[in-house]
Amino acid sequence: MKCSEFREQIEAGAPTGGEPRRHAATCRSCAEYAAAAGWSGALLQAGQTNGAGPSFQRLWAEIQRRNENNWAGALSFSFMRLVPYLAAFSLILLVIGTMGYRAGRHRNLNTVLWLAGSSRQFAGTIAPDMSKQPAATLGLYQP
Amino acid sequence: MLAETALWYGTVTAVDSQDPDQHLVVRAQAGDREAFAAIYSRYQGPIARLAANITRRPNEAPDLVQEIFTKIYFSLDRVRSDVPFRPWLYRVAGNHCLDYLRKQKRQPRTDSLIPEYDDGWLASTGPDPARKSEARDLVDKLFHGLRPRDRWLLVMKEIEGLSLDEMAAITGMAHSALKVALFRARKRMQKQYQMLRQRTTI
Repeated sequence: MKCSEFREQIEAGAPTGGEPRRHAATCRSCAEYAAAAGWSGALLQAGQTNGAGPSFQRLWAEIQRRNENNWAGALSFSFMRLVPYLAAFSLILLVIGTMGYRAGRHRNLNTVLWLAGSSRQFAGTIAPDMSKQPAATLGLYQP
Repeated sequence: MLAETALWYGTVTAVDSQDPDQHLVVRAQAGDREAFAAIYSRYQGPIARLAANITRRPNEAPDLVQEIFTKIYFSLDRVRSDVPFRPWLYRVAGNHCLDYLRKQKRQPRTDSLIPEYDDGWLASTGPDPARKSEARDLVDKLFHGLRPRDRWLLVMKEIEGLSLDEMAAITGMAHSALKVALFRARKRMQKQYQMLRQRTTI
């Protein structure tokens, strides 16, 4: 008999028959294994303690409570997951808005400058010839 | 049918596709309260005993059982139909008890008189409540010095009487590794006993 077989039999219950007995008599290690198993088995059986679970109603109430918390948790978790996206979206809106505003300001400024430039041009080149009709000055009217 | 699948706490080896709990599990997965009640009524006793013996705190067993079954309820959707339910349940329960033990702060040990333990003493622990209580105290003290995993293995083997096949399915360990682990746990318990005896007799 092999040691592994002997030990399998020990774990399955007390081995019976001559062969395991002969093996234990010749194998010191397996004899020690069997003695330790017998010792702890008997002691733990004698010293075992009993416990009881709660009523199913109590368990079910706890499950329901956690279920509700899970829903709330899942909702808040979903919202929390959205926060970075919302922040990124807000940032993009802010950037676009700023750029639009600056571009708008730029455009207005350009218009003002253009107008100012036109006025200067108007003043420098066209304005001395005040005898012409304004429309003729602008080239809209040919008398 | 042999199959191995990753579950919540690791792997559980399927040894038998004819699982008597399977129809209850399937119904419970679909939200059937009565099916879960049937599972609870079938297993709350063994799980409470397992928890009380691993932690050695029978007064806390109701809370532990509640936490274990709540965890099981919310993990039912992860149970596969080709994997037996019982080993998975024991695995969840065992791991929960180990977590509980790890979270506990070490309690100061009280060194009261340790009875001389032999076969005669054990035989006399049967009907006598005082002797039974003495045996419980002794196991409490011995377990106090054991690692949580040793406690788990010893309770499954010596108190629950699980076979090596079942323990292998629960722990994911091979038979040979289990036998070595059990032997070492027993030897450590014996050593603990000898230390306690020496301390109380000197």
